[in-house]
Amino acid sequence: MTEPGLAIGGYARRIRLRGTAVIAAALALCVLVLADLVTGPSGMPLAELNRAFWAGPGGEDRAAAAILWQIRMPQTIMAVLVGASLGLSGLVMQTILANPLASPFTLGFSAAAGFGAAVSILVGGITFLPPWVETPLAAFAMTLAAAGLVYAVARLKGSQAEVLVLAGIAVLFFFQALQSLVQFMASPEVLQQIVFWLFGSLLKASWTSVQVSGAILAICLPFVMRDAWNLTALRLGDANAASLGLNVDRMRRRSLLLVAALTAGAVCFTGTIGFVGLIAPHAARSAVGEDHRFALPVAALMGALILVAASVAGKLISPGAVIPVGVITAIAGIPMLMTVLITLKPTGAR
Amino acid sequence: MTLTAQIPAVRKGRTTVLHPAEIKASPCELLGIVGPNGAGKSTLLRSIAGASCPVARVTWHGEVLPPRQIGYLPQAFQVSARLSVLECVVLGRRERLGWRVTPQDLADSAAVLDLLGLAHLADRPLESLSGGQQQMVLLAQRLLRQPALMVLDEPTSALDLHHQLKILSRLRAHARERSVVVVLALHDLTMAARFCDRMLLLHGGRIAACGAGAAILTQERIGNCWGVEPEVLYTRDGAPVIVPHLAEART
Repeated sequence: MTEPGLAIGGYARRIRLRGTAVIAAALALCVLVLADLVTGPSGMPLAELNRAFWAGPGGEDRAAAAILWQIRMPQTIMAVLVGASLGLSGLVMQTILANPLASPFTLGFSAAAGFGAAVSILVGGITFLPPWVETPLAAFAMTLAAAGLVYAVARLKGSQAEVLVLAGIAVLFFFQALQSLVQFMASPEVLQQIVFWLFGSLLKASWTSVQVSGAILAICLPFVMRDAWNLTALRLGDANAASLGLNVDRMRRRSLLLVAALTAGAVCFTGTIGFVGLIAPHAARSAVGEDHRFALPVAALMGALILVAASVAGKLISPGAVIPVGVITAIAGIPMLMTVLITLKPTGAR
Repeated sequence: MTLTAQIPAVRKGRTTVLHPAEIKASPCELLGIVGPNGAGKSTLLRSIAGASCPVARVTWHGEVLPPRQIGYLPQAFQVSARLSVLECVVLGRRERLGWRVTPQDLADSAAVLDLLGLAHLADRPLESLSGGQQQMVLLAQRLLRQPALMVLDEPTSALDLHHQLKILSRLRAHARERSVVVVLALHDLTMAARFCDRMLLLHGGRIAACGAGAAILTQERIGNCWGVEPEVLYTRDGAPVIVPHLAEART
């Protein structure tokens, strides 16, 4: 075979391997979803789960139907949606900022959501909405406000990666300071509620939250995937991407808004969940490289895998009182982050 | 002349780093931009390529040349993307790539790599290549785009002698075959004089001279612009060979 022929053969082999990685990640997620559904304080063997599933929410076994359809299934689906949203957001953010340590936390989006929720809990009732609507709405609004601040800086000073990272760090400290102020002002009972929200837990999941987070992910996903080639081109550095005809500034701003919407949709119901948006992109890149046609879906799958695994671990470690997933991801995330830092190669790509 | 680039003044703070100028070139031409460090070569190329403000007005047969028709290669730097060489070259067709890369796009990319003698690297990760190899891969990507105007900022700066000759020969052949204009900045005056049809000498942000290499690379001009004492020799076909000496070393 000629050298060009060999090159094309190598490319085809690489694509097949990546396709296999996507399928393997999807299958692993299915297994973990099943494990999450059968795990819980009240237990539920696979056979019983199967019966309760096919019997539907109005099945004869009222207890099993309630456990599966009202508690476990919304929590598991929420874990998948939140994990996928954070995984996608993390990869997009790391790519547009050319920074392997970027995540929705780096730009302060999660801190903003936490502040919004804390304010809502502290002064609840001013919007005449029930708390379960008001708190996520406040978290969502503050996340968009944080994105708006970073976006405004990007419009004023240009959308270079350094400017965005520094603006994000400023936003992070700003909202963390406001969050501390709210906590300082809160009474012990309210403070307890705020701290519980900030833990990041799937216990707040319901079918409503599944529908809202699912809708946001479904709306954002096509726009993110449409940019797969643009994100891949951006990995060659700003100057090279621009010379391939890409409007780098416009793409960065567009991606920033998508990340804000995905993060807001993910954290507004569950609270702040750390490290998923940081680790999932690294796992995806290790598995399929930086062809974003594959890296994006794998980052979403990895994010979902991490969060569902954290959910299973939370239930197994403490069967009586489920440990919030935010705590599990934070504990497990630190050694993962250290591994990333140690194995990180020095980069010169801009 | 078919290509005209009207360059506006470029200022950095209070300093004018590039004065207004007009550059003309014909199809099939290799136009070399030479000059000492800080002369404004990269600024000029970025302005022509539309890579930084203010942007030059570039026309081709009197019509404004769309950005898609300008292939700009910035100065060499290390790229750390986890992509194979072939995947990187395929990105040259970014605008027309669908979800699946067509066999034609793959075949064209592999052919360009073959043309530059890089086919054996096609399956290698881009980040594992040397700076010079990466520079050639990115050049292959630009060649795949087939723009009417190629603007290359020191495309041979990280290459060994063999690859410098190979790339400059290929660029000259490409310009002739496709009737395109190649504008490139070079530091090696001998190479520039040998391969470029015309040279444009920049000094202090102004065009100091423009013409054939043998005409503009005089001992006096090189001495004035670069602050060296050169010997200018000539090959049998009249191409100048520059042997520079430091002025203080000779005294």
